[in-house]
Amino acid sequence: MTASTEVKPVATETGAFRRWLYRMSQKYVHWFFIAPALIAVLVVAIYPIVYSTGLSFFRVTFDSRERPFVLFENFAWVLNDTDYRVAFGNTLLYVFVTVSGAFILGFGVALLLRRITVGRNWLRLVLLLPLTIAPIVVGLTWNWMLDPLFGLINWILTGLGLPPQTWLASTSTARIAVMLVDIWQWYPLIFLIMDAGLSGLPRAPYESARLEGASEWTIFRRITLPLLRPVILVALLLRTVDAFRTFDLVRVMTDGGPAYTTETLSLYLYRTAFNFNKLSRAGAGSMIMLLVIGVISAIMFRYLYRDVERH
Amino acid sequence: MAISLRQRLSAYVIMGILLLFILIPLVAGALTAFKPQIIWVSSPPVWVFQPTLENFEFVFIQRQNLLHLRNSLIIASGSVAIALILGVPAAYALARFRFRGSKGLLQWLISLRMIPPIVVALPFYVLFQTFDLRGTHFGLILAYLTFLIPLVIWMMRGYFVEIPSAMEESAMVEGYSRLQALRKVVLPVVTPGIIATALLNFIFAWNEYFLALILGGRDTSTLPVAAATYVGRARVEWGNLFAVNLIIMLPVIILTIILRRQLVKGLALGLVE
Amino acid sequence: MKATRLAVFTLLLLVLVPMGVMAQSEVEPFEVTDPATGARPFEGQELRIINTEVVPILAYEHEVFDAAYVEASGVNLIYENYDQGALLPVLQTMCAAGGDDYDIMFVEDGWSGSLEALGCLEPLAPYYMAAPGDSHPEDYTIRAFGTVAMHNQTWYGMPTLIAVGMFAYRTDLFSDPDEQAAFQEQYGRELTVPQTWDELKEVGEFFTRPDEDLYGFNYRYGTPNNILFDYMIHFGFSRGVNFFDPDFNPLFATDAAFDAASFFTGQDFLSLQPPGRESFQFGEVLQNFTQGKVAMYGTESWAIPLLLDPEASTVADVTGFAPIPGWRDPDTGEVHRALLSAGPAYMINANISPERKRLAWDYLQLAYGQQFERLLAEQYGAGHRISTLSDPDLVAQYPHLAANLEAMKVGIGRPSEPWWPEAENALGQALQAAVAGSPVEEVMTAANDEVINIVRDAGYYDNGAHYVSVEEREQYVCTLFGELGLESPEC
Repeated sequence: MTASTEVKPVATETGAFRRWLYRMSQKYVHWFFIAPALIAVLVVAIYPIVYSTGLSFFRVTFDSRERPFVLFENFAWVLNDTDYRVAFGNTLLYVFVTVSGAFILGFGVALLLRRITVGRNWLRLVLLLPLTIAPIVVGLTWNWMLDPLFGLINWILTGLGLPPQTWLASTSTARIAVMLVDIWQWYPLIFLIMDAGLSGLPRAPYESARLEGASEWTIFRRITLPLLRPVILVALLLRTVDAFRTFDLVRVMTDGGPAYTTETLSLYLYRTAFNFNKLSRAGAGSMIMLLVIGVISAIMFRYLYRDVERH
Repeated sequence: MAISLRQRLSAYVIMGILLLFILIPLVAGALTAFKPQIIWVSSPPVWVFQPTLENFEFVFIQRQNLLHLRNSLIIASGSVAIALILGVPAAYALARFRFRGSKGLLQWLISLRMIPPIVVALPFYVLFQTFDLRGTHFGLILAYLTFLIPLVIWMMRGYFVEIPSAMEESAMVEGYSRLQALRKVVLPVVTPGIIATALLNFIFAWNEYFLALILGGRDTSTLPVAAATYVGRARVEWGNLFAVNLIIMLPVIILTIILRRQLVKGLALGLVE
Repeated sequence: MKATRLAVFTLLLLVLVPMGVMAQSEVEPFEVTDPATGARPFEGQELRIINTEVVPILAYEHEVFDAAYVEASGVNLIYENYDQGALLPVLQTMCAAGGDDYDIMFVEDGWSGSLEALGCLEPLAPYYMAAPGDSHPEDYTIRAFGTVAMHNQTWYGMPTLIAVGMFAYRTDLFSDPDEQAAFQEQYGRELTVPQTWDELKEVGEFFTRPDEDLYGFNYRYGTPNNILFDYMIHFGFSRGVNFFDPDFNPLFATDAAFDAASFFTGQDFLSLQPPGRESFQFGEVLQNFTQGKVAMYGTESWAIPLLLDPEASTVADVTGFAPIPGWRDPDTGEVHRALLSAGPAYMINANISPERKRLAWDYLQLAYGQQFERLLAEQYGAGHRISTLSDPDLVAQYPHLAANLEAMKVGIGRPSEPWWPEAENALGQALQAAVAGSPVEEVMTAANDEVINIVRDAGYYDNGAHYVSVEEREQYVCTLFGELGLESPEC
């Protein structure tokens, strides 16, 4: 593990102790580096999880003084609640669509940028702009853009001779409108990562492939994609993790409506805890959600690290 | 590098359309920040108008959003700094030492980022009550560490893996302790990585809304929370909202411009191979 | 009918009033701030208020009242402003812990039940007896006072806002001779501000001209609690729907409720409203009216200063106010109006020291008292007290004040049970589903069942809890006024 150092044997007791201390410190040196972060994480992340888990086995509200133990009552209640199941389904769909959408757009833009030679640095900056806005403001800005009477989108549509739309009001379009805005906001993150990934690719394999007369598509599929695999997985993982937590954007754009089509788990849990004062049900709902997310991330990790190891 | 003229042209056209999609909402919003309230919304939209600073006057003087700007700056930079101080050594150890459970620890750390904010909000709420942290900057900084530390560790580990361990080993042969070697030899090499990590984390902390809403008080509420107040139950004050939004965006954009090179270099360094 | 009701009251009063009286401890008379005498007994002290400013009128109040109070008393006011959505959990957590961080709390009408259960609300009657100051509780309409300031029989707060449904319309459209002639021709009657929902439908249809970007009117269907609110506030109550029967059985699956819901969510009614109505909340409907897109608009009293502000509304000078329409009784021909009223009050934290409680009362009696409210009305054309709303000078300046007072007299409060938001959400979701095309009876019946579950879950059926009706609530207010030696013309 380390390259060092012979300590001369010292005969005294304190010397033996020091030597032991030294050996120990060498053997467990990594814990000195990890411990501060780990302790912080224990406080800021594990404590909340343990707390929520605890809540979910009791009956707790903000205004309760007694907290009877109810075992799985809250879990049963949440699993029986159609609203919860609908919100779960919505969330899975939301994560799938927004992550793949942001990925396709972000990767596409990164590839496109390589064909552009003028003002590339400034382009990069402009392309990153949506990432710099707070999600809540992004949602509000698009509310304003999509307003049925005053929004620019309808103004443009009618200018082009198309019928105006009520994006956020119709059960058929609200979902997709919110997802598109999410993609608009987050594709820059994927773009940033993929752009960096592309700029770090080696040249040699491309040159030899071109000499062999391979088509662009073949080169992309056979060389670019495999080389970028770890980067792609990093980007996907990071985005998936965050997409599950989406709250602000949906909250201000539709608040779950119309007719519950855009309700996500975060919204549901917020309502249950803070509006309906059912802390323990929210706790049970989050535990189930955490389990599902954990499984999904474990699968993604296996792919990611299998790949890195092979590398 | 044979890219035909047609391909190149279509690349510019597609990019142009994309830029429109990005810029139209931003520019239209920014213009609204300078509109008098009677034309915050209007149909058809008004493009030519006498610009006014009354929205800025309202948000800064009447609503004192400068205080929120200060809060945002303290909380975002404070939480990023602490996350880096705690996370960088941990990332280093996870990259350098192979010990039992090191891989599992890493995976576990990043999956912590998935915790929905609501799970964090409730216990912190109670914690704040107990330790009298409500209405303190430190309280929110602590809460932000939940999603910042995992990202810092995860990104930084990527950079440390890149650095050959021979580097600090030779430094240690020369008499540096491991900590000194880390500080004087390794860290300078990964500076772009640290900057990229810091910037990305800063964006996340700067734009966070939910925890700031639930856990912040008057003295600690941040700019996104202030922005949300312009969409009250009563009405939407678009001009004031977009005025605040300009203030929210500006620091991040400035930082991105200043650190642009390091950001791209840093991301490329850590994530590729 | 009257006799049985009276019997029930008497019985209830016999049982409950002694309990309420026993719970109220005596407060020795003390001196309060009085600008007339220059008394400043609390000079230099600090008063801590936990607050939220959901609607602009609350900000105006602080601007007017606080400046005047600080000048008169020399007290320092310290505010902690929270987002409205986060405030109730903050208060509940503080109260459950017996916290004394704040002296005065902002409490919405639906919150007092849970805060009372936590022992966090200080009854105000003893303070009134000790030092009435300028508080004048009898100066509020009894409906509004019972909803906003009291929980069941106990007086806890001074109202900071009484929101009642108001009906705004475009005077330029209604007085335009061309429009009048066209309407006469089309419908065979005069164009007048509608008195009933059926008239409103006709007038709305007449003004709905999508090619001119003009629509009949506009409601909020956007979120579950908005939609339920607008349904109940404007359609349900006046149609005879109520929330619960005396045993807390919900009444949303009755013929009257179906009727009102079918009207409110029906396509022919929706089509008179601007596109996007399914997502509209307060902000959007206000925006539509102020930008001249709708002819009539059902709103709330707090919006009046905004609607009359030429910097905020393009139609400020042609906006008129009228009572909200109702249903015409087919037998008597009378128009039955009723609407929801709601609003927050400032209440005193029961966990602070007696000295601080006296200071808190000092603020409430003066800042929210009779004299200062006049200042607010003069400046912003808004008020909550009878004396302000019926003042001839003020009414001459702001004619809508009279309509506001009429609305307050028929305003009905929401249930203030801790579980009510959940029930509200279930019902609102059902209405949204109906707007999206689901059959009204089916979704309302399902929601009604869900409310039954929520009530049962809260243990209300097991405990035999009693739902306080509008009449009982009025009676409680009159009893309180009697105990305080006050007279209200409505009692």
